[in-house]
Amino acid sequence: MPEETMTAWERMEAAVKLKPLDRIPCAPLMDIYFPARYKGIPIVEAMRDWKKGFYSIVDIFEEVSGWDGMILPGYSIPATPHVYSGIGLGKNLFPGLELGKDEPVQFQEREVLKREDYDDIINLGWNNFKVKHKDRFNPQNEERIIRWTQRQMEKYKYEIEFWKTRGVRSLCGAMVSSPLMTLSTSRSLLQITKDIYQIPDKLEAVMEAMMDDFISDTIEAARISGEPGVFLVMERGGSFYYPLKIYERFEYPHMKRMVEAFAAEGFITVMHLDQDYTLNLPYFKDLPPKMVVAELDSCTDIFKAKEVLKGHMCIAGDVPAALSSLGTPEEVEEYCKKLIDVVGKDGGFILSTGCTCPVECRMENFKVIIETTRTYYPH
Amino acid sequence: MGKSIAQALVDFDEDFVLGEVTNRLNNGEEPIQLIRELQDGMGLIGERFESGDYFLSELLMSADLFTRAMEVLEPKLEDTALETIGKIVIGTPKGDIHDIGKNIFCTVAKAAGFEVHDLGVDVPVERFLEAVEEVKPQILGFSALITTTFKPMKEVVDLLVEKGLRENLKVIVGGGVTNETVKRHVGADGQTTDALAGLNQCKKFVSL
Repeated sequence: MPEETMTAWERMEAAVKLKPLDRIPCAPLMDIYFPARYKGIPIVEAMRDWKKGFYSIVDIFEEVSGWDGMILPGYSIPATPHVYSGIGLGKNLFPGLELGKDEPVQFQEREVLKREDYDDIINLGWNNFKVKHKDRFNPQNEERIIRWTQRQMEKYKYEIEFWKTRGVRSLCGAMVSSPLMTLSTSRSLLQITKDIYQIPDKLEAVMEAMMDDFISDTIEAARISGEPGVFLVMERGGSFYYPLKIYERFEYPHMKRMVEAFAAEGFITVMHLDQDYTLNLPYFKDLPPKMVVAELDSCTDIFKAKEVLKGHMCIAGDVPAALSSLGTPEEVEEYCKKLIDVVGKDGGFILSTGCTCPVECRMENFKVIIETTRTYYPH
Repeated sequence: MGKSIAQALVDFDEDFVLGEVTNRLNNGEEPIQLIRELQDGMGLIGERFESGDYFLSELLMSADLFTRAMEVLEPKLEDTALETIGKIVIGTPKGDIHDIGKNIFCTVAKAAGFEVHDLGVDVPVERFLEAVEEVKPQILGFSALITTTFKPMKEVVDLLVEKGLRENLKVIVGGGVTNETVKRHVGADGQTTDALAGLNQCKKFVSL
Protein backbone atom coordinates (compact mmCIF):
# COMPACT_ATOMS: atom_id res chain seq x y z
CA MET A 1 0.00 0.00 0.00
CA PRO A 2 1.67 3.26 -1.09
CA GLU A 3 1.93 6.03 1.50
CA GLU A 4 0.04 9.10 0.30
CA THR A 5 2.10 12.27 0.59
CA MET A 6 0.37 14.39 -2.06
CA THR A 7 -3.07 15.95 -2.39
CA ALA A 8 -5.24 14.72 -5.25
CA TRP A 9 -4.49 17.76 -7.36
CA GLU A 10 -0.76 17.72 -6.63
CA ARG A 11 -0.79 14.11 -7.85
CA MET A 12 -2.66 15.03 -11.07
CA GLU A 13 -0.32 17.96 -11.75
CA ALA A 14 2.74 15.85 -11.09
CA ALA A 15 1.50 13.20 -13.53
CA VAL A 16 0.95 15.79 -16.27
CA LYS A 17 4.33 17.42 -15.63
CA LEU A 18 6.09 14.02 -15.46
CA LYS A 19 7.27 14.63 -11.88
CA PRO A 20 7.70 11.97 -9.17
CA LEU A 21 4.45 10.61 -7.72
CA ASP A 22 3.44 9.03 -4.41
CA ARG A 23 1.10 6.79 -6.44
CA ILE A 24 -0.67 6.80 -9.81
CA PRO A 25 -3.67 9.17 -9.90
CA CYS A 26 -7.08 8.04 -11.12
CA ALA A 27 -9.35 10.32 -13.17
CA PRO A 28 -12.22 8.56 -14.92
CA LEU A 29 -13.77 10.28 -17.92
CA MET A 30 -17.24 10.47 -16.51
CA ASP A 31 -20.61 11.53 -17.81
CA ILE A 32 -24.06 10.72 -16.47
CA TYR A 33 -24.76 7.42 -18.25
CA PHE A 34 -23.09 4.94 -15.92
CA PRO A 35 -24.04 6.84 -12.72
CA ALA A 36 -27.67 7.24 -13.81
CA ARG A 37 -27.95 3.56 -14.81
CA TYR A 38 -26.38 2.50 -11.50
CA LYS A 39 -28.73 4.74 -9.54
CA GLY A 40 -31.75 3.45 -11.45
CA ILE A 41 -32.51 6.85 -12.96
CA PRO A 42 -33.65 6.67 -16.61
CA ILE A 43 -31.12 8.52 -18.76
CA VAL A 44 -33.83 10.82 -20.14
CA GLU A 45 -34.61 11.94 -16.58
CA ALA A 46 -30.94 12.46 -15.70
CA MET A 47 -30.56 14.65 -18.79
CA ARG A 48 -33.73 16.69 -18.32
CA ASP A 49 -33.12 17.26 -14.62
CA TRP A 50 -29.56 18.57 -14.59
CA LYS A 51 -29.13 18.40 -10.80
CA LYS A 52 -30.35 14.81 -10.69
CA GLY A 53 -27.87 13.90 -13.44
CA PHE A 54 -24.92 15.74 -11.98
CA TYR A 55 -25.53 14.46 -8.45
CA SER A 56 -25.69 10.88 -9.72
CA ILE A 57 -22.00 11.39 -10.62
CA VAL A 58 -21.37 12.88 -7.19
CA ASP A 59 -23.07 9.90 -5.51
CA ILE A 60 -20.75 7.50 -7.33
CA PHE A 61 -17.79 9.65 -6.27
CA GLU A 62 -18.89 9.43 -2.63
CA GLU A 63 -19.62 5.71 -2.80
CA VAL A 64 -16.08 4.88 -3.98
CA SER A 65 -14.53 7.39 -1.52
CA GLY A 66 -13.51 9.68 -4.34
CA TRP A 67 -10.89 9.78 -7.05
CA ASP A 68 -8.06 12.20 -7.86
CA GLY A 69 -9.39 14.36 -10.66
CA MET A 70 -11.93 14.89 -13.40
CA ILE A 71 -11.01 15.01 -17.08
CA LEU A 72 -14.10 17.16 -17.66
CA PRO A 73 -16.23 18.42 -14.77
CA GLY A 74 -19.51 16.78 -15.67
CA TYR A 75 -21.82 16.89 -18.59
CA SER A 76 -22.74 20.49 -19.20
CA ILE A 77 -21.20 21.90 -22.34
CA PRO A 78 -18.38 24.39 -21.89
CA ALA A 79 -19.32 27.59 -23.66
CA THR A 80 -18.32 31.20 -24.09
CA PRO A 81 -20.67 34.19 -24.02
CA HIS A 82 -20.88 34.03 -27.82
CA VAL A 83 -24.39 33.16 -28.85
CA TYR A 84 -23.62 30.07 -30.87
CA SER A 85 -20.50 28.86 -29.10
CA GLY A 86 -22.11 25.76 -27.62
CA ILE A 87 -23.87 24.70 -30.78
CA GLY A 88 -22.23 22.15 -33.01
CA LEU A 89 -23.31 21.17 -36.48
CA GLY A 90 -23.47 17.40 -36.11
CA LYS A 91 -26.77 15.64 -35.49
CA ASN A 92 -27.33 13.82 -32.20
CA LEU A 93 -30.25 11.58 -31.33
CA PHE A 94 -31.62 11.93 -27.80
CA PRO A 95 -33.26 9.56 -25.30
CA GLY A 96 -36.97 10.14 -24.99
CA LEU A 97 -37.06 11.71 -28.44
CA GLU A 98 -35.52 9.62 -31.19
CA LEU A 99 -34.19 6.95 -28.81
CA GLY A 100 -35.55 4.88 -25.93
CA LYS A 101 -35.78 6.65 -22.55
CA ASP A 102 -32.82 4.82 -21.05
CA GLU A 103 -30.43 4.94 -24.00
CA PRO A 104 -27.37 7.20 -24.22
CA VAL A 105 -27.23 10.06 -26.71
CA GLN A 106 -25.95 8.84 -30.05
CA PHE A 107 -24.31 10.66 -32.91
CA GLN A 108 -26.04 10.25 -36.25
CA GLU A 109 -23.72 10.14 -39.24
CA ARG A 110 -25.33 12.63 -41.62
CA GLU A 111 -24.27 15.20 -44.18
CA VAL A 112 -25.34 18.39 -42.40
CA LEU A 113 -22.66 20.54 -43.98
CA LYS A 114 -22.44 20.48 -47.80
CA ARG A 115 -19.48 20.85 -50.10
CA GLU A 116 -21.20 24.01 -51.41
CA ASP A 117 -20.74 25.55 -47.94
CA TYR A 118 -16.98 25.57 -48.23
CA ASP A 119 -16.70 28.91 -50.05
CA ASP A 120 -18.72 30.61 -47.32
CA ILE A 121 -16.49 29.18 -44.60
CA ILE A 122 -13.38 30.33 -46.48
CA ASN A 123 -14.79 33.83 -46.98
CA LEU A 124 -16.49 34.35 -43.61
CA GLY A 125 -14.53 32.27 -41.11
CA TRP A 126 -16.17 29.63 -38.93
CA ASN A 127 -18.17 31.75 -36.47
CA ASN A 128 -19.58 34.12 -39.07
CA PHE A 129 -20.47 31.13 -41.23
CA LYS A 130 -22.46 29.64 -38.33
CA VAL A 131 -24.21 32.96 -37.70
CA LYS A 132 -25.12 33.35 -41.38
CA HIS A 133 -26.62 29.86 -41.53
CA LYS A 134 -27.96 29.70 -37.97
CA ASP A 135 -31.54 28.91 -38.98
CA ARG A 136 -30.36 25.93 -40.98
CA PHE A 137 -28.31 24.47 -38.15
CA ASN A 138 -30.51 25.56 -35.25
CA PRO A 139 -33.99 26.82 -36.04
CA GLN A 140 -34.64 28.08 -32.50
CA ASN A 141 -34.85 31.84 -32.03
CA GLU A 142 -31.83 33.81 -30.87
CA GLU A 143 -33.25 34.74 -27.48
CA ARG A 144 -33.77 31.07 -26.62
CA ILE A 145 -30.27 30.17 -27.73
CA ILE A 146 -28.80 32.99 -25.60
CA ARG A 147 -30.75 31.75 -22.56
CA TRP A 148 -29.59 28.18 -23.22
CA THR A 149 -25.97 29.29 -23.52
CA GLN A 150 -26.21 31.29 -20.28
CA ARG A 151 -27.73 28.34 -18.45
CA GLN A 152 -25.01 26.03 -19.76
CA MET A 153 -22.34 28.40 -18.49
CA GLU A 154 -23.94 28.65 -15.08
CA LYS A 155 -24.22 24.88 -14.74
CA TYR A 156 -20.68 24.39 -15.99
CA LYS A 157 -19.25 26.85 -13.48
CA TYR A 158 -21.27 25.19 -10.73
CA GLU A 159 -19.84 21.77 -11.63
CA ILE A 160 -16.27 23.11 -11.63
CA GLU A 161 -16.70 24.85 -8.28
CA PHE A 162 -18.48 21.86 -6.78
CA TRP A 163 -15.54 19.52 -7.39
CA LYS A 164 -13.20 21.92 -5.63
CA THR A 165 -15.30 21.46 -2.48
CA ARG A 166 -14.50 17.74 -2.73
CA GLY A 167 -10.77 18.37 -3.12
CA VAL A 168 -10.58 17.50 -6.81
CA ARG A 169 -10.33 19.59 -9.95
CA SER A 170 -11.05 19.09 -13.59
CA LEU A 171 -8.07 18.95 -15.93
CA CYS A 172 -10.08 20.63 -18.68
CA GLY A 173 -12.30 23.68 -18.69
CA ALA A 174 -12.82 23.97 -22.43
CA MET A 175 -13.57 21.57 -25.23
CA VAL A 176 -12.90 21.75 -28.94
CA SER A 177 -12.60 19.35 -31.87
CA SER A 178 -9.92 19.49 -34.51
CA PRO A 179 -11.05 20.97 -37.87
CA LEU A 180 -10.93 17.50 -39.46
CA MET A 181 -13.03 15.99 -36.66
CA THR A 182 -15.53 18.87 -36.89
CA LEU A 183 -15.86 18.60 -40.66
CA SER A 184 -15.98 14.80 -40.62
CA THR A 185 -18.83 14.72 -38.13
CA SER A 186 -20.78 17.41 -39.97
CA ARG A 187 -20.03 16.23 -43.54
CA SER A 188 -19.95 12.44 -42.74
CA LEU A 189 -16.89 10.23 -42.92
CA LEU A 190 -17.53 9.27 -46.54
CA GLN A 191 -18.03 12.82 -47.82
CA ILE A 192 -15.03 14.29 -46.01
CA THR A 193 -12.91 11.43 -47.32
CA LYS A 194 -14.07 12.23 -50.85
CA ASP A 195 -13.16 15.87 -50.22
CA ILE A 196 -9.68 14.82 -49.11
CA TYR A 197 -9.10 12.89 -52.32
CA GLN A 198 -11.05 15.08 -54.75
CA ILE A 199 -10.66 18.71 -53.56
CA PRO A 200 -7.65 18.68 -51.20
CA ASP A 201 -6.60 22.31 -51.76
CA LYS A 202 -10.04 23.68 -51.06
CA LEU A 203 -10.42 21.50 -47.97
CA GLU A 204 -7.10 22.75 -46.68
CA ALA A 205 -8.28 26.34 -47.19
CA VAL A 206 -11.49 25.59 -45.28
CA MET A 207 -9.54 24.18 -42.34
CA GLU A 208 -7.25 27.18 -42.38
CA ALA A 209 -10.29 29.50 -42.27
CA MET A 210 -11.61 27.68 -39.18
CA MET A 211 -8.45 27.89 -37.13
CA ASP A 212 -8.51 31.43 -35.67
CA ASP A 213 -12.05 31.10 -34.29
CA PHE A 214 -11.37 27.62 -32.95
CA ILE A 215 -8.29 28.78 -31.09
CA SER A 216 -9.58 32.08 -29.73
CA ASP A 217 -12.97 30.68 -28.62
CA THR A 218 -11.32 27.77 -26.85
CA ILE A 219 -8.85 29.98 -25.03
CA GLU A 220 -11.69 32.25 -23.96
CA ALA A 221 -13.74 29.28 -22.67
CA ALA A 222 -10.71 27.92 -20.79
CA ARG A 223 -10.05 31.31 -19.19
CA ILE A 224 -13.69 31.59 -18.07
CA SER A 225 -13.53 28.14 -16.52
CA GLY A 226 -10.37 28.84 -14.56
CA GLU A 227 -9.25 25.26 -15.19
CA PRO A 228 -5.81 24.41 -16.55
CA GLY A 229 -6.58 22.58 -19.76
CA VAL A 230 -8.40 22.11 -23.03
CA PHE A 231 -10.09 18.89 -24.12
CA LEU A 232 -9.20 18.42 -27.80
CA VAL A 233 -11.41 15.81 -29.45
CA MET A 234 -9.86 13.80 -32.25
CA GLU A 235 -11.03 10.48 -33.59
CA ARG A 236 -11.39 10.73 -37.32
CA GLY A 237 -7.84 11.72 -38.26
CA GLY A 238 -5.73 8.86 -36.92
CA SER A 239 -4.17 5.83 -38.52
CA PHE A 240 -7.32 3.75 -38.04
CA TYR A 241 -8.87 5.81 -40.84
CA TYR A 242 -6.16 7.51 -42.86
CA PRO A 243 -2.62 6.94 -44.12
CA LEU A 244 0.07 9.12 -42.61
CA LYS A 245 0.37 11.36 -45.69
CA ILE A 246 -3.25 12.43 -45.13
CA TYR A 247 -2.68 12.84 -41.39
CA GLU A 248 0.34 15.02 -42.12
CA ARG A 249 -1.70 17.38 -44.25
CA PHE A 250 -5.23 17.41 -42.83
CA GLU A 251 -4.92 16.72 -39.10
CA TYR A 252 -1.46 17.10 -37.66
CA PRO A 253 -0.64 20.74 -38.67
CA HIS A 254 -3.93 22.06 -37.25
CA MET A 255 -3.73 19.96 -34.13
CA LYS A 256 -0.16 21.11 -33.54
CA ARG A 257 -1.03 24.78 -34.01
CA MET A 258 -3.92 24.47 -31.59
CA VAL A 259 -1.84 22.71 -28.93
CA GLU A 260 0.95 25.29 -29.31
CA ALA A 261 -1.49 28.20 -29.10
CA PHE A 262 -3.05 26.76 -25.93
CA ALA A 263 0.39 26.11 -24.44
CA ALA A 264 1.45 29.69 -25.20
CA GLU A 265 -1.45 30.81 -23.00
CA GLY A 266 -0.41 28.36 -20.28
CA PHE A 267 -3.10 25.75 -20.98
CA ILE A 268 -2.36 22.07 -21.19
CA THR A 269 -4.15 19.99 -23.85
CA VAL A 270 -5.81 16.65 -23.20
CA MET A 271 -5.89 14.98 -26.60
CA HIS A 272 -8.99 12.77 -26.59
CA LEU A 273 -7.81 10.13 -29.04
CA ASP A 274 -10.56 7.67 -29.86
CA GLN A 275 -9.72 4.81 -32.21
CA ASP A 276 -6.23 3.65 -33.13
CA TYR A 277 -3.50 6.33 -33.20
CA THR A 278 -0.58 3.92 -32.80
CA LEU A 279 1.11 4.91 -36.08
CA ASN A 280 0.64 8.60 -35.26
CA LEU A 281 2.41 8.45 -31.89
CA PRO A 282 5.88 9.57 -33.11
CA TYR A 283 4.39 12.90 -34.32
CA PHE A 284 3.34 13.75 -30.76
CA LYS A 285 6.98 14.05 -29.73
CA ASP A 286 7.02 17.33 -31.63
CA LEU A 287 4.34 18.86 -29.39
CA PRO A 288 5.29 21.09 -26.40
CA PRO A 289 6.80 18.82 -23.70
CA LYS A 290 4.88 18.28 -20.45
CA MET A 291 1.94 20.33 -21.78
CA VAL A 292 -0.09 17.52 -23.35
CA VAL A 293 -1.93 14.42 -22.14
CA ALA A 294 -2.57 11.63 -24.65
CA GLU A 295 -5.90 10.22 -23.50
CA LEU A 296 -6.45 6.78 -25.08
CA ASP A 297 -9.54 4.60 -25.39
CA SER A 298 -7.85 1.14 -25.62
CA CYS A 299 -7.75 1.08 -29.44
CA THR A 300 -4.28 2.68 -29.51
CA ASP A 301 -1.53 0.42 -28.13
CA ILE A 302 -1.00 2.19 -24.78
CA PHE A 303 2.18 0.21 -24.06
CA LYS A 304 3.66 1.33 -27.37
CA ALA A 305 2.55 4.88 -26.48
CA LYS A 306 4.61 4.69 -23.29
CA GLU A 307 7.62 3.48 -25.22
CA VAL A 308 7.36 6.35 -27.73
CA LEU A 309 6.21 9.21 -25.50
CA LYS A 310 8.09 8.44 -22.28
CA GLY A 311 9.66 11.58 -20.83
CA HIS A 312 7.68 13.81 -23.21
CA MET A 313 4.00 13.69 -22.33
CA CYS A 314 1.58 12.15 -19.86
CA ILE A 315 -0.66 9.27 -20.95
CA ALA A 316 -4.18 8.67 -19.63
CA GLY A 317 -6.36 5.62 -20.09
CA ASP A 318 -7.40 3.05 -20.99
CA VAL A 319 -9.50 0.37 -19.24
CA PRO A 320 -11.50 -1.04 -22.18
CA ALA A 321 -15.27 -0.51 -22.11
CA ALA A 322 -15.81 -4.23 -22.73
CA LEU A 323 -13.62 -5.15 -19.77
CA SER A 324 -15.30 -2.79 -17.29
CA SER A 325 -18.73 -3.88 -18.57
CA LEU A 326 -18.25 -7.64 -18.88
CA GLY A 327 -15.02 -8.58 -17.12
CA THR A 328 -14.64 -9.88 -13.57
CA PRO A 329 -13.14 -7.65 -10.85
CA GLU A 330 -10.06 -9.92 -10.90
CA GLU A 331 -9.60 -9.33 -14.65
CA VAL A 332 -10.03 -5.57 -14.24
CA GLU A 333 -7.52 -5.52 -11.37
CA GLU A 334 -5.01 -7.51 -13.38
CA TYR A 335 -5.28 -5.08 -16.31
CA CYS A 336 -5.05 -1.98 -14.06
CA LYS A 337 -1.93 -3.41 -12.39
CA LYS A 338 -0.35 -4.06 -15.78
CA LEU A 339 -1.06 -0.44 -16.76
CA ILE A 340 0.50 0.81 -13.51
CA ASP A 341 3.49 -1.54 -13.89
CA VAL A 342 4.30 -0.58 -17.48
CA VAL A 343 2.70 2.75 -18.37
CA GLY A 344 2.98 4.07 -14.81
CA LYS A 345 6.71 3.38 -14.53
CA ASP A 346 8.54 6.69 -13.94
CA GLY A 347 5.20 8.51 -13.62
CA GLY A 348 3.49 10.38 -16.44
CA PHE A 349 0.36 8.27 -16.23
CA ILE A 350 -3.24 8.81 -15.13
CA LEU A 351 -5.36 5.68 -14.84
CA SER A 352 -8.69 6.30 -16.54
CA THR A 353 -11.55 4.66 -18.34
CA GLY A 354 -11.14 3.93 -22.07
CA CYS A 355 -13.22 6.80 -23.48
CA THR A 356 -16.13 7.66 -21.22
CA CYS A 357 -17.09 5.27 -18.45
CA PRO A 358 -19.54 2.99 -20.29
CA VAL A 359 -23.21 2.88 -19.37
CA GLU A 360 -22.97 -0.88 -18.80
CA CYS A 361 -19.95 -0.60 -16.45
CA ARG A 362 -20.26 -2.86 -13.41
CA MET A 363 -19.96 -1.02 -10.11
CA GLU A 364 -17.68 -3.72 -8.68
CA ASN A 365 -15.33 -3.20 -11.64
CA PHE A 366 -15.45 0.57 -11.32
CA LYS A 367 -14.52 0.27 -7.63
CA VAL A 368 -11.55 -1.92 -8.58
CA ILE A 369 -10.27 0.72 -11.04
CA ILE A 370 -10.34 3.37 -8.30
CA GLU A 371 -9.06 1.07 -5.56
CA THR A 372 -6.10 -0.31 -7.52
CA THR A 373 -4.53 3.16 -7.76
CA ARG A 374 -4.81 3.51 -3.97
CA THR A 375 -3.36 0.12 -3.13
CA TYR A 376 -0.84 -0.67 -5.86
CA TYR A 377 2.29 1.29 -6.74
CA PRO A 378 5.37 -0.90 -7.12
CA HIS A 379 7.73 1.80 -8.43
CA MET B 1 -4.02 -1.57 -73.54
CA GLY B 2 -6.43 0.75 -71.74
CA LYS B 3 -7.16 0.94 -68.06
CA SER B 4 -9.22 -1.89 -66.56
CA ILE B 5 -12.29 -1.42 -64.40
CA ALA B 6 -10.49 -3.26 -61.61
CA GLN B 7 -7.52 -0.89 -61.73
CA ALA B 8 -9.77 2.17 -61.98
CA LEU B 9 -11.58 1.00 -58.84
CA VAL B 10 -8.24 0.65 -57.06
CA ASP B 11 -7.46 4.26 -58.15
CA PHE B 12 -10.96 5.51 -57.12
CA ASP B 13 -11.38 6.81 -60.68
CA GLU B 14 -15.13 7.14 -60.48
CA ASP B 15 -15.59 8.82 -63.87
CA PHE B 16 -13.83 5.90 -65.54
CA VAL B 17 -15.54 3.14 -63.52
CA LEU B 18 -19.09 4.48 -63.88
CA GLY B 19 -18.52 5.56 -67.50
CA GLU B 20 -17.02 2.22 -68.51
CA VAL B 21 -19.77 0.22 -66.78
CA THR B 22 -22.48 2.27 -68.49
CA ASN B 23 -20.81 2.21 -71.94
CA ARG B 24 -20.10 -1.49 -71.94
CA LEU B 25 -23.62 -2.27 -70.74
CA ASN B 26 -25.01 -0.12 -73.53
CA ASN B 27 -22.82 -2.04 -75.97
CA GLY B 28 -24.55 -5.24 -74.91
CA GLU B 29 -21.97 -6.67 -72.57
CA GLU B 30 -23.22 -9.06 -69.89
CA PRO B 31 -23.57 -7.36 -66.48
CA ILE B 32 -22.18 -10.46 -64.81
CA GLN B 33 -18.82 -9.93 -66.57
CA LEU B 34 -18.66 -6.33 -65.37
CA ILE B 35 -19.50 -7.42 -61.83
CA ARG B 36 -16.64 -9.93 -61.93
CA GLU B 37 -14.24 -7.13 -62.96
CA LEU B 38 -15.48 -4.94 -60.11
CA GLN B 39 -15.03 -7.87 -57.73
CA ASP B 40 -11.47 -8.29 -59.00
CA GLY B 41 -10.87 -4.62 -58.17
CA MET B 42 -12.21 -5.08 -54.63
CA GLY B 43 -9.94 -8.10 -54.30
CA LEU B 44 -6.91 -5.95 -55.21
CA ILE B 45 -8.00 -3.31 -52.72
CA GLY B 46 -8.29 -6.02 -50.07
CA GLU B 47 -4.73 -7.13 -50.78
CA ARG B 48 -3.45 -3.56 -50.45
CA PHE B 49 -5.37 -3.10 -47.20
CA GLU B 50 -3.98 -6.31 -45.74
CA SER B 51 -0.43 -5.36 -46.70
CA GLY B 52 -0.84 -1.98 -44.99
CA ASP B 53 -0.65 0.07 -48.21
CA TYR B 54 -4.30 1.04 -48.04
CA PHE B 55 -6.20 2.31 -44.99
CA LEU B 56 -9.87 2.44 -44.06
CA SER B 57 -10.29 5.65 -46.07
CA GLU B 58 -9.32 3.83 -49.27
CA LEU B 59 -11.60 0.93 -48.41
CA LEU B 60 -14.43 3.37 -47.79
CA MET B 61 -13.87 5.17 -51.11
CA SER B 62 -13.69 1.97 -53.13
CA ALA B 63 -16.66 0.39 -51.33
CA ASP B 64 -18.74 3.47 -52.17
CA LEU B 65 -17.70 3.33 -55.81
CA PHE B 66 -18.35 -0.43 -55.99
CA THR B 67 -21.85 0.11 -54.53
CA ARG B 68 -22.63 2.86 -57.05
CA ALA B 69 -21.46 0.71 -59.95
CA MET B 70 -23.56 -2.19 -58.65
CA GLU B 71 -26.60 0.10 -58.53
CA VAL B 72 -26.19 0.51 -62.29
CA LEU B 73 -25.65 -3.21 -62.90
CA GLU B 74 -28.08 -4.98 -60.56
CA PRO B 75 -31.29 -3.88 -62.34
CA LYS B 76 -29.85 -5.33 -65.58
CA LEU B 77 -29.21 -8.75 -64.08
CA GLU B 78 -32.85 -9.76 -64.65
CA ASP B 79 -33.01 -13.49 -63.99
CA THR B 80 -29.26 -14.04 -63.88
CA ALA B 81 -28.43 -15.36 -60.44
CA LEU B 82 -25.08 -14.31 -59.01
CA GLU B 83 -22.93 -17.15 -57.77
CA THR B 84 -22.69 -16.91 -54.03
CA ILE B 85 -20.33 -18.48 -51.55
CA GLY B 86 -22.65 -18.24 -48.57
CA LYS B 87 -25.34 -16.20 -46.86
CA ILE B 88 -24.79 -13.63 -44.13
CA VAL B 89 -27.46 -11.94 -42.03
CA ILE B 90 -26.07 -8.84 -40.34
CA GLY B 91 -27.29 -5.87 -38.32
CA THR B 92 -26.46 -3.35 -35.62
CA PRO B 93 -28.37 -4.48 -32.50
CA LYS B 94 -31.06 -2.54 -30.67
CA GLY B 95 -29.73 0.52 -28.88
CA ASP B 96 -27.00 1.32 -31.41
CA ILE B 97 -27.43 3.32 -34.61
CA HIS B 98 -23.85 3.22 -35.90
CA ASP B 99 -23.33 1.70 -39.33
CA ILE B 100 -20.11 2.88 -41.01
CA GLY B 101 -18.19 -0.30 -40.24
CA LYS B 102 -21.18 -2.52 -40.98
CA ASN B 103 -21.75 -0.92 -44.36
CA ILE B 104 -18.11 -1.34 -45.36
CA PHE B 105 -18.20 -4.98 -44.27
CA CYS B 106 -21.42 -5.59 -46.25
CA THR B 107 -19.83 -4.20 -49.41
CA VAL B 108 -16.60 -6.20 -49.14
CA ALA B 109 -18.61 -9.33 -48.30
CA LYS B 110 -20.86 -8.81 -51.36
CA ALA B 111 -17.81 -8.18 -53.52
CA ALA B 112 -16.32 -11.44 -52.25
CA GLY B 113 -19.44 -13.33 -53.31
CA PHE B 114 -21.55 -13.52 -50.16
CA GLU B 115 -25.29 -12.96 -50.29
CA VAL B 116 -25.68 -10.29 -47.62
CA HIS B 117 -28.95 -9.57 -45.82
CA ASP B 118 -28.40 -6.26 -44.02
CA LEU B 119 -31.06 -5.65 -41.37
CA GLY B 120 -29.86 -2.08 -40.73
CA VAL B 121 -29.34 -0.43 -37.34
CA ASP B 122 -31.18 -0.51 -34.00
CA VAL B 123 -32.38 -4.03 -34.88
CA PRO B 124 -34.60 -5.73 -32.25
CA VAL B 125 -33.72 -9.20 -30.98
CA GLU B 126 -36.84 -10.72 -32.61
CA ARG B 127 -35.88 -9.36 -36.04
CA PHE B 128 -32.53 -11.17 -35.94
CA LEU B 129 -34.32 -14.41 -35.07
CA GLU B 130 -36.90 -13.97 -37.83
CA ALA B 131 -34.18 -13.27 -40.38
CA VAL B 132 -32.18 -16.36 -39.37
CA GLU B 133 -35.34 -18.48 -39.76
CA GLU B 134 -36.27 -16.89 -43.11
CA VAL B 135 -32.86 -16.64 -44.79
CA LYS B 136 -31.16 -19.67 -43.22
CA PRO B 137 -27.70 -18.07 -43.39
CA GLN B 138 -24.42 -19.79 -42.59
CA ILE B 139 -23.29 -16.66 -40.73
CA LEU B 140 -24.95 -14.16 -38.41
CA GLY B 141 -23.05 -10.91 -37.89
CA PHE B 142 -23.50 -8.25 -35.21
CA SER B 143 -21.95 -4.82 -35.66
CA ALA B 144 -21.49 -2.87 -32.42
CA LEU B 145 -19.95 0.42 -31.38
CA ILE B 146 -21.42 0.89 -27.92
CA THR B 147 -21.75 -1.33 -24.85
CA THR B 148 -25.55 -1.31 -24.87
CA THR B 149 -25.37 -3.93 -27.64
CA PHE B 150 -23.84 -6.60 -25.38
CA LYS B 151 -27.14 -7.63 -23.83
CA PRO B 152 -29.21 -7.93 -27.05
CA MET B 153 -26.40 -9.80 -28.85
CA LYS B 154 -26.29 -12.37 -26.08
CA GLU B 155 -30.09 -12.60 -26.02
CA VAL B 156 -30.18 -13.39 -29.74
CA VAL B 157 -27.57 -16.14 -29.42
CA ASP B 158 -29.23 -17.63 -26.32
CA LEU B 159 -32.58 -17.72 -28.13
CA LEU B 160 -30.98 -19.29 -31.20
CA VAL B 161 -29.64 -22.06 -28.96
CA GLU B 162 -33.06 -22.45 -27.33
CA LYS B 163 -34.76 -22.74 -30.71
CA GLY B 164 -32.19 -25.20 -32.02
CA LEU B 165 -30.97 -22.75 -34.68
CA ARG B 166 -27.43 -22.23 -33.42
CA GLU B 167 -25.83 -25.52 -34.38
CA ASN B 168 -25.19 -24.90 -38.09
CA LEU B 169 -24.77 -21.16 -37.75
CA LYS B 170 -21.55 -19.23 -37.18
CA VAL B 171 -21.83 -15.98 -35.24
CA ILE B 172 -19.37 -13.11 -35.58
CA VAL B 173 -19.25 -9.84 -33.62
CA GLY B 174 -17.52 -6.78 -35.04
CA GLY B 175 -16.92 -3.14 -34.19
CA GLY B 176 -14.83 -0.86 -32.06
CA VAL B 177 -16.27 -1.92 -28.71
CA THR B 178 -15.85 -5.65 -29.30
CA ASN B 179 -12.97 -7.85 -28.19
CA GLU B 180 -12.40 -11.41 -26.99
CA THR B 181 -14.34 -10.67 -23.78
CA VAL B 182 -17.37 -9.62 -25.82
CA LYS B 183 -17.01 -12.66 -28.09
CA ARG B 184 -17.05 -14.96 -25.06
CA HIS B 185 -19.95 -13.14 -23.42
CA VAL B 186 -22.11 -13.27 -26.53
CA GLY B 187 -21.13 -16.86 -27.32
CA ALA B 188 -19.85 -15.96 -30.78
CA ASP B 189 -17.44 -17.90 -33.00
CA GLY B 190 -15.54 -14.90 -34.33
CA GLN B 191 -14.71 -11.28 -33.55
CA THR B 192 -13.12 -8.44 -35.47
CA THR B 193 -12.59 -4.69 -35.54
CA ASP B 194 -11.51 -4.80 -39.18
CA ALA B 195 -13.90 -5.41 -42.11
CA LEU B 196 -11.44 -7.45 -44.17
CA ALA B 197 -10.25 -9.56 -41.24
CA GLY B 198 -13.94 -10.20 -40.56
CA LEU B 199 -14.43 -11.20 -44.19
CA ASN B 200 -11.55 -13.66 -43.96
CA GLN B 201 -13.13 -15.22 -40.87
CA CYS B 202 -16.42 -15.53 -42.74
CA LYS B 203 -14.66 -17.23 -45.66
CA LYS B 204 -13.20 -19.74 -43.22
CA PHE B 205 -16.65 -20.29 -41.71
CA VAL B 206 -17.91 -21.43 -45.12
CA SER B 207 -14.68 -23.41 -45.60
CA LEU B 208 -13.19 -21.45 -48.48
